[in-house]
Amino acid sequence: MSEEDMPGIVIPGDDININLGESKTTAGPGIYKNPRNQEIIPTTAGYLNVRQNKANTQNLIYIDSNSKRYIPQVNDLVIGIITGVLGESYKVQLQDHSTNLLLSMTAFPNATKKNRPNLRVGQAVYARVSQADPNIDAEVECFDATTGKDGGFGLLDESGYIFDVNLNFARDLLFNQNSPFLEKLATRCRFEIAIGMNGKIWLKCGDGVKAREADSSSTQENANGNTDKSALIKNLKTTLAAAKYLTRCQSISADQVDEELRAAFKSI
Amino acid sequence: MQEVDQISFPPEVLSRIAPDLSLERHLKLGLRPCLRSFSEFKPIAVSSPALEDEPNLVGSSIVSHGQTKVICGISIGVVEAKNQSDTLNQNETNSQDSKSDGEYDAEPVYPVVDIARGRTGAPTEEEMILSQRLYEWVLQSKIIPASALLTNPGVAIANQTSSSQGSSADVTILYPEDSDMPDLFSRVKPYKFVLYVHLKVFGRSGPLFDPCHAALIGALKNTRLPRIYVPDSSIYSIKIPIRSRGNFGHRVKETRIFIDENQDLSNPLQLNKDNIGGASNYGLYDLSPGSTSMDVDPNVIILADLEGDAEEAECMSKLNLIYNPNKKSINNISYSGGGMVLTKDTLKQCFKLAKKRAENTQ
Amino acid sequence: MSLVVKSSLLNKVDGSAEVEIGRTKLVASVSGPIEPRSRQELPNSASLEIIVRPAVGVSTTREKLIEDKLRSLLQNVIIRHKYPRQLIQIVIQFLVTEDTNNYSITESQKQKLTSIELNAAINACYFALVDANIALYYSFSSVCICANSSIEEDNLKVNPDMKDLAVSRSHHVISYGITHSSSYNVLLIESQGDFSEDEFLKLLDASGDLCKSLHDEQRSHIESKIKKEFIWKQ
Repeated sequence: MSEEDMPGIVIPGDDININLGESKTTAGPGIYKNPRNQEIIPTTAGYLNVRQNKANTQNLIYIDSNSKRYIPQVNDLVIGIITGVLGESYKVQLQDHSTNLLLSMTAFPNATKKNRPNLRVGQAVYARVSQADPNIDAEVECFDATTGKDGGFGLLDESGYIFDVNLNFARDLLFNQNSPFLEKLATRCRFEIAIGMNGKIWLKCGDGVKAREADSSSTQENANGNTDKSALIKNLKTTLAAAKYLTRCQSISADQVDEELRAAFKSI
Repeated sequence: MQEVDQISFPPEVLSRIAPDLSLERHLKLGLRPCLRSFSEFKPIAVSSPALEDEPNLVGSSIVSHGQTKVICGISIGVVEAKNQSDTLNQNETNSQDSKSDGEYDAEPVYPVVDIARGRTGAPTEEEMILSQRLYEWVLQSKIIPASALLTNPGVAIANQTSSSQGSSADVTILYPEDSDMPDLFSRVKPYKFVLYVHLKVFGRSGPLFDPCHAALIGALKNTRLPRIYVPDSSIYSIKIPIRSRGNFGHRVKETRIFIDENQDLSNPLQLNKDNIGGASNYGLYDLSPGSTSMDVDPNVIILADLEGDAEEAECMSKLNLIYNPNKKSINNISYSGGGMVLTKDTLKQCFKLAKKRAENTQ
Repeated sequence: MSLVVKSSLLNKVDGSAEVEIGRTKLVASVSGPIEPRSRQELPNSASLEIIVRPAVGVSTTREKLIEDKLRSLLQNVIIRHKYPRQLIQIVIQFLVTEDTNNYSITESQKQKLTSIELNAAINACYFALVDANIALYYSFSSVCICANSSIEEDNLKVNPDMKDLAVSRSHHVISYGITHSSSYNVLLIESQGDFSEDEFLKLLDASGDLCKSLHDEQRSHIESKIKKEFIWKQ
């Protein structure tokens, strides 16, 4: 796919003046085809993106806009919090006060009826939306359905730090390969990251946030204790600084990123 | 493989399970489910029965609109006309000021609509909205001038010579206009009537604003306002002790107001009859949805006087009009459109129908 | 036309806007699509719950009438089939209305006419719905006009206050849906007073132009809002 032209802002009712010709067109978010007169209209306000593959046989058209509510779509990558158990499934919440999604206990790599994962309420998982029909409960799963392997999905360990960003920013971090923010962050520290399209980011720098285990280890090995502790505090500080940096990036323009990065890591 | 039979429904079943389909098929045949033609109204008849055995009502009417019956009764309340601008001599004293203040020279009525639905309970949204619309219409059309509801009460005086024999029979009521004792009335404040309208609807089969509007007008037209009087302080002067922080010293004088039951003294309510218009409603139905042309669309059908669930639910565009045949002007347009373009020709056609209807029902 | 808009000012709802038109100020919020109560649920489209709260006191039949008129407009603008069995909740809270303004209004004026508030509510709903990313068939805008002696171009007062309404011969709230930023179709008319057919048709055209210029204002507000949200892309 190649970028056809610079995206412009459209609002509902605008004429998205594109000549689609005979080629097959896929309508993405924010585009609605009126079933009565087959008209293609924009339904939300945002940046209109029209992409065309090289052979000119397929079009993709969508509107990139920010919203506060996340509406699950199939194949979205999300971070969910386990809030309970319902029969054979976990209940998973993607946003505060939002409707629960279901995560079947068999939707894990190598899981069977007998070999179930053991997740507790409050733990976070990285998952893929597998079912998002508005007429039934939406579902997520924690394995790559084509290979049956974990594919990066599953439990997010508790030493990571989870924070919220805008939905449009999360999408950009996840999909835009030219996005400068993570590359710049990588110049300052080592980190693991999981980005959910529901606006949640799980972030872990070095060994992440591990205060409790640090206590227990320091009592056993007093000699190593101090260095351990300072390393842990450094990891903690770095994680928080990185999170702060990413949060701040949403409200600044691209040329201020370096400055913001310096400010966030000043005390480390 | 089992063959799937085509299922067919009798019309009345289809109209319940698929009202949209049923209505569309009717209209394509040039028919309405209620068998009226597209621009044919339901017959409306206003009668004003004398409800003499109902002493609380000052005006009443019964409207039958197709199957729907609306019974309307008007009762009164009395309040002190406390605003300076509310008093009778408003025009001499401060008409200049009050007009520039945007003083509104019209009085409202307070309607309560009750749609019989076989159970009691809090008023439904439809009832509240209807009441509010009637209220706004009376205010906006200024059919009740502020002066129409003002009244100067009379004073009841006991005949002193016969007071020893009995007090009941010898009270005479004097009114300011036929008395030459101005000092008697100097302490009597002017009062103002408040009109309460009760509308009871039976057999709802379509939008209710039109019959309720007709019933309200019918009742206002035969409303007679009685005279009121206050007793002279020598007869009834009731002092009520008021307890205030444990102190019994306060007393207020309660002024009682009585309604003179002498029918001969009552006056018909003065209405700005020129401002009364006739209401009608229309549903617009687009037989070829989706065409977005701004030109004349012959496929838009105007249905006069909606009736039945299918017509009410499926006509996404609805229009209410009040046309005033006296002034040959429009008093009210209320339109909400869905999915179709309202052309000027459609609008003009509706105006024409409204005009005819208002002239016929006057 | 004076339209002061602040979008996204509430962070617990999906979309919100504070709008100031003339002397009237209000906040509109949109939550949705959310799970409805079972009696509100519609099998194939979204249900709308519209709540209007007055600036002073509790809501009365007057607010119910505004709710009803708003619903009749919004249900045709929102693509409700995109959200089956869901609820879209819209709350309008008036902050300043004509009768809370401190200039003198007589008692009889206070309890009246809903036109000014209806007009402000419609315009605020547009910004709140766009902010909440609710799918709309087209943009819409609304004007409140009152005409004094007769409806002529120079005799119209746009965005009147309660005083103007009380002395006017007729007043109108007219909303247009705007597609392709040029053609428009009437969504709602609330006209009261005393006017002739020709006068009204003229007014309908005039208000269409007003709605269109209001639409240009809407566009610039929304564009600057979106640019702010995507500032990191610049």
